[in-house]
Amino acid sequence: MNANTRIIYILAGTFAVSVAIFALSLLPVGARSYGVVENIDGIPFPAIDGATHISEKLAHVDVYLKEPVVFKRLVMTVEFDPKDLVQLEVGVREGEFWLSYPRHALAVAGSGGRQSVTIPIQLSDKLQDTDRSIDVMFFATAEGASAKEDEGVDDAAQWELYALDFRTEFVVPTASELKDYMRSIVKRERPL
Amino acid sequence: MITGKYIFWILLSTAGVLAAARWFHPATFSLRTLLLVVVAAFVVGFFYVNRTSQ
Repeated sequence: MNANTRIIYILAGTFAVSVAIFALSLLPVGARSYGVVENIDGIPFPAIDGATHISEKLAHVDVYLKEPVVFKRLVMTVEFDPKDLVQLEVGVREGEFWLSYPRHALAVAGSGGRQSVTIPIQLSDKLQDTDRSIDVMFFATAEGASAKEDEGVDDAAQWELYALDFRTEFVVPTASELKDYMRSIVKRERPL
Repeated sequence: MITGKYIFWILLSTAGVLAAARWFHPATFSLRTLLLVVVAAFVVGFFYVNRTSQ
């Protein structure tokens, strides 16, 4: 066997083993753990009688994945009471900008009371941190709220979070989601 | 025929690919996977050297 053939064998083997390892890393699915629910300054919201009392417009939680985001979706179940909020939304961060969250509605005005909502969110085009965690943000809009992301003492948002559950499932991404994933690798996107 | 020497070089260059992928995008491969490949390469290399030196 000449030197060129040997190199071709080694390159082909390297490619095959790398692809196989990446494919294996996509297999894990199931329940995923998450961190504490905190405000945008990293201060946890208080938990009282089994409910987390959220008193700001934005509430953040890290979800710890065991796999790359590509070919995955997050199935999120939230048990909450929106109280008098005009709107409650949730999103998973998709870009380097700290507020790049496409939002999904959890509750609208007049839907107060304890309730449970399950939302599937495609992950392939979402931003994953170096520890494989993803950022989930809740957006609460109270009556008369301004457009500012932090209203300080004027923040009128009040709602209760009773339970959170996160699961990952396998899903085939769209071409544009796959393109976004490849772009995030090439551009070395990091959370700012 | 694929010998221990080929498997050693394939695993070692795979470790290089994984390390490069981690440099670009750390979430793509875990550090544990990378270390496993490196250890596997050196285990194969160790047995290959032992076998050929006898």
